[in-house]
Amino acid sequence: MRCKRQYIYTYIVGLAYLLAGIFYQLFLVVSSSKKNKETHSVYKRRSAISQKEALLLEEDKVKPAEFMVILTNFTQIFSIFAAIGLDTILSVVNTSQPVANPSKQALLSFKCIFYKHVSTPFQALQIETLLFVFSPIAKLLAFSLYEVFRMIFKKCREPTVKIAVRLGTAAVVLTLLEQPGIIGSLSNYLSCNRIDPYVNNEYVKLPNSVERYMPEYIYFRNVAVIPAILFWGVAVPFTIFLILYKKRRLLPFSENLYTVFSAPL
Amino acid sequence: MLLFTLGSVLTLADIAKAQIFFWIVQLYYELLLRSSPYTEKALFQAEKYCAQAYRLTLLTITFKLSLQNTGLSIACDILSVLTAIDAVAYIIFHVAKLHLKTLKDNVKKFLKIRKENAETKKLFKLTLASLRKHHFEKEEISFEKHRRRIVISVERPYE
Repeated sequence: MRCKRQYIYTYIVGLAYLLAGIFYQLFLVVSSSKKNKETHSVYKRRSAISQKEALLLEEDKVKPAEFMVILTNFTQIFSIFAAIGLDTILSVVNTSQPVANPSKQALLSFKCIFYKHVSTPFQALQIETLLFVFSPIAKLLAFSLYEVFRMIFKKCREPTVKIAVRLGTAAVVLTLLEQPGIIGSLSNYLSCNRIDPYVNNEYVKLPNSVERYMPEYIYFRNVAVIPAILFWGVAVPFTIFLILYKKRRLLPFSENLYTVFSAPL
Repeated sequence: MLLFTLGSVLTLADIAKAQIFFWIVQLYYELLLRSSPYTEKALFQAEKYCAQAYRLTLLTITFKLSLQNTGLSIACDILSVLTAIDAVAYIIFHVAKLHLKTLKDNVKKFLKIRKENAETKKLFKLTLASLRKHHFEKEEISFEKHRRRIVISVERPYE
């Protein structure tokens, strides 16, 4: 009975984290899209007036959201450094982590639930890795579905460019929010060590009951983990960089491009 | 993105990792000083303080890891926390300042509207009173059925 209550409690907490996380990310997508549009219009206005008049606008331009973006980045980056050598304050820094990406926290709550349904720790690790890797894609698909319904509801009267801009902003913001978690999860799969110095076998660091050179481990590594690392760690950042580099001259003048690629996080 | 990827992928000793991060942050700091992406001074300062916090934290980590001493370790941790607090406090102070400014503006706007409404109400009452006075003077308070008042011009009480 107690176990069942604990199970329900964990399930509710996990669900709450997941929903809160999704709503937060949705809020970030909408607010970043709005903010980028505003910034672009201010930029356009500024380029139209003299430098002296532009200085007068300076005071009104700063918004709290811009500071919050710097703060979110700061907590994320500082947590990487704190993980290297600031053990005592790591817990303090980690409490602010769900602000940027709540998936990790939600997954922690769901962990004991999916441990009930899988037979080995290796399967649990596989599911965890796959959840991280496909989380932004699933969210983007859900967002696309919402856009399709919106399009039907509005009887296709909205210009396609607007929908594309909204989807693009969602893709960029979700990528930037989730990429650290994905890389962390994939690297966790790859990082192994010896538990016993006298035994040659290596085990995954977390959970340390998964042996490194099992055929299933190698197969999953080659089929899922390495392609995912190449996609999320190399292809996605490189593509964003390449688009920004190629369109660098067009960026200040095109509102759509600016809205998509000037994501705050 | 680069830092997150490196943080997860690098399997070097912590001290080497800290050094690599330090040089990346140093490069970013130099670029930030030379060509800042921000036109607002407060945003630039916030980013600058954050970059300084990263630099100092990485330096203290390097120092701490090279000299394994408990007392020194705690001192390094405190120093890192203080620099982080400094950067965070600067940001929070500005956010609070901006929110307070918005709140102040809204209160001002609300008071102005309230004052305007009170004035309008007062003027309305004065206008009605002067109308009543006018009709008393002309003895036009009660009328016969179907008779209309003659057009009048009442002086505006606020002029």
